Formats: sequence, structure tokens, C-alpha cells
Amino acid sequence: MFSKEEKNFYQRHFLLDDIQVSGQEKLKKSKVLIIGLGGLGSPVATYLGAAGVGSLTLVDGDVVEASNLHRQPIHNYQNIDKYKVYSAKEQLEKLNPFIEVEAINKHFDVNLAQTITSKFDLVIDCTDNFSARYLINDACVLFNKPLVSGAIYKFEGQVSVYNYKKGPCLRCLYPKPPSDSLVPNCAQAGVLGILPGIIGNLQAMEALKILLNLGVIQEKTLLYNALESSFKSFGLRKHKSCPVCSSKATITKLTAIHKECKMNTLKEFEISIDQLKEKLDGTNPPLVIDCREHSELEVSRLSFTKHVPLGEIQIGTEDLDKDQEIVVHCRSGVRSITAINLMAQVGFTNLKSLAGGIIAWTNKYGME
Amino acid sequence: MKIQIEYFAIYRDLLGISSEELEVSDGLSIKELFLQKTDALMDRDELLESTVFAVNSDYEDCDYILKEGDEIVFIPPVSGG
Repeated sequence: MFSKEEKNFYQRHFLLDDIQVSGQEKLKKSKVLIIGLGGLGSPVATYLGAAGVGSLTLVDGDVVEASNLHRQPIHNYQNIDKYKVYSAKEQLEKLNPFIEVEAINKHFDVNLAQTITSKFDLVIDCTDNFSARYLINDACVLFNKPLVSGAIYKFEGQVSVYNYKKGPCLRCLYPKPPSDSLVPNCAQAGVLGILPGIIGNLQAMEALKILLNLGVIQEKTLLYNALESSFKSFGLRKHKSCPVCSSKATITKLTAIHKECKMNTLKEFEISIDQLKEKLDGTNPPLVIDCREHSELEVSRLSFTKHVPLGEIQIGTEDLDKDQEIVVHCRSGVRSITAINLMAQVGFTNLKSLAGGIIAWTNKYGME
Repeated sequence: MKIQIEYFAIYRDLLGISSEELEVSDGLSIKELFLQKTDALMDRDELLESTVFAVNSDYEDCDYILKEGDEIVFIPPVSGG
């Protein structure tokens, strides 16, 4: 089954008693879905591709940005602005020409989940938001696929194997998604670049073990703390009333997860770029606050904004009139929601967050 | 009795420490401990609803009654990737 060149490539796997040629053939026949080609997806795709997983499908709707590269080394500086899935596919094909890589340049949504999940032996969650994570979990339960999930925060990370042989799933542990605004993501909190490399590689290792039926598959969560150089693990248990994987399941088909989050109620706190433009052109324009970090202003800045970084939002606005109309913007419209929450706590009454942030604004109106 | 608490991910930021040893009264549940420790935080109820707790090497419900020497970890959901 293997060409001479492939035999050369996988030589060191063949030497392992637990893999040999038969194990490598299993890998070649395996189909793995990797969702998210960022910090976690970079090592996962790189190492599973190098290991010879025969078919990798990559899903991500984002493009490569310079600020990604310190932790996403599957991409490179030349590929900035290119879709991450195409950038990763290019790199994987250079690394291992003996595997198939399919690139899907959109975010994982209900439609996509419905169409493709059943085709894979294994799914790996490398996403960066709760809506995607819960959708992936539910799809894996409903289509009966093992799921290797990793997540990171600043200096800490975790890895879990869910739904392995109908074992515990994400919702056994956390039945409902929290709002994305409750827990910051990498763009808001920052992350040490090496951390996703470690967590992603742990995911890749668990994935390979599942595909090869090797060793003990962990029905536990592994927590890693880089600052303390410590690993801890906790046994996962199936929850008898899990909303998706128990006999009392209430979720029996896939639905868009954001409906369960705070997003519905958030709509009323958001303002679109067109609505803001109209207000700015009117007789009583609102005050616009830019809550991004200092370093981001060098890249882009709107002339009519007052700058107060998110970390100083309560102190930096204390002299303002609490009842005046204020619109807060950030880069993409996530941090500004946190900002208006914090401002509401100290008494501001007329707040909106600019949907889509400065990216959406400059796309349509430029830097005026 | 003495217990040990470790704070994972956002709890380290929210509470400003990564771990502590604590003297608590007998019969205290995890939920009561959580409410004591997060007294000053906003979104406390939502946080409790979305947090899981590990004691020693297993996850436990928040009505678990703490015992001498228990090591508890507050584990919030983490979504970064």
C-alpha cells in the first residue's frame, strides 16, 4: 500500500511495535476533521499531517493576520490576508505530499455540521468561541464521533476527549454555554505563543491514540499550568441528565448555539456602522470611545474618537456625563461589549457597542 | 479544617491569586465556599452556573461537603484557541 517514498517517510513509525506498517495503514485510511486553524489547529494539523493521517479536512473562515503568527506557525508572514485554511493546506502539502488536505474557508455552522460530520473518524475542536464549541460537541454526539477538545487561556490550557465510545461529553460537564463576553478569548486576554503549541500537541497525541486504538484514552480533563509547570487531571463522568448525551436528552437536532447565549439580548446594545454614520452626520452626534490598546492605534484610528483602553475604561471615563449617548468601538465588536458592561456598572445609562468594530467601519467608510 | 484552593484561568485574574490554603468551618459546601470567595465579583451567579469544581482527582457537584485536606480547583469554561 505504501510507495517507496512513503516507506521512507514513515520509517520511524514502522519501527514502533505499537504502530508498524499496519498502524500506519490505519492512519492513512483515517479521516479527521480539524475545526479552527489558529493556535491549536496549527500544531494539530502539522503533527497529524506529518504522522500520515491520510485525509485532513480543515475548517476556518478567518484570514491570517500578523498578530496570529507568534502562536500559529503553520502560517507565515507571506500568507497574511490569505484564508487560514489555504495557508495551512499549502504548508501541509509541502510537509507531507502523501496526504489529502481539504480546505473549507468558512466558519463551522449548523449547515456544515449537518453535511460533513458523519464523514469523519474523529473531530478535533481547535476553535476560539463557545458557540462553535457547543455546536461541535452536539454534532459529535448526534453523529457519534469522538471529539478531542483543547482550550487555552493566557498561561493555562486544557485537553479533554469527549464522546469516546459514547462516554461523557462537554455538556455533561458544562450543560449550557456561557456568554462569550463572560470569558475573554485570546484577542482580548492575550496568550503566550508557546501555550497552544503544547495543548494542540496533546490534542494531536490523543487523536492519534484514538485512531490507532493505542494506550489508554483519557476520560478526563487534563489541565496544564505553564507558570507552575504542572499538569493535573480530573476524571470525567457522564451526567445522568446531560441535555444532549443522556437518556433525558432535550437536544435532538442541531441548532445555532448563539440563541442560547446572551447574543439575543446583546442586539439591543449594539449599533450598526450605518446607524452610527447617520448619528454622526446628525445634529447631536454621540461621543465615540475607542477601547482598544495603545499599540493598535498605530495601525488604524478614527479621528473623531476618544481613546480609553479597556483596562482603564471605568477610571478613564469617570469625568464624563453618565447620561450622554456613548458608542464604544474596538477592533471587531467583542471587547466593546465588555467595555459597555463595565461602564454600565459605574452608572452610564446610554451605551452602545459598535457591531463589527473598526474593521467594519473602515471597510465601508474608510478612516474619515 | 484546612483546605487548599487552586484558581484556574479567569479566576486567577478575577481573584488576583493562583492558589491559597484556607481554614474553613466544618460542613461547608463547595457552593458556599464559592460564594464566599466571589463575594465582590459581578456576574457571580452566571459564573457559578458555568463553573465546575474538581476535588482531589475528580469533578464534584457544588453541593459536595468539603473535608479536611481537600484540594479544590475552580475551573471556569475556557474558550481560547
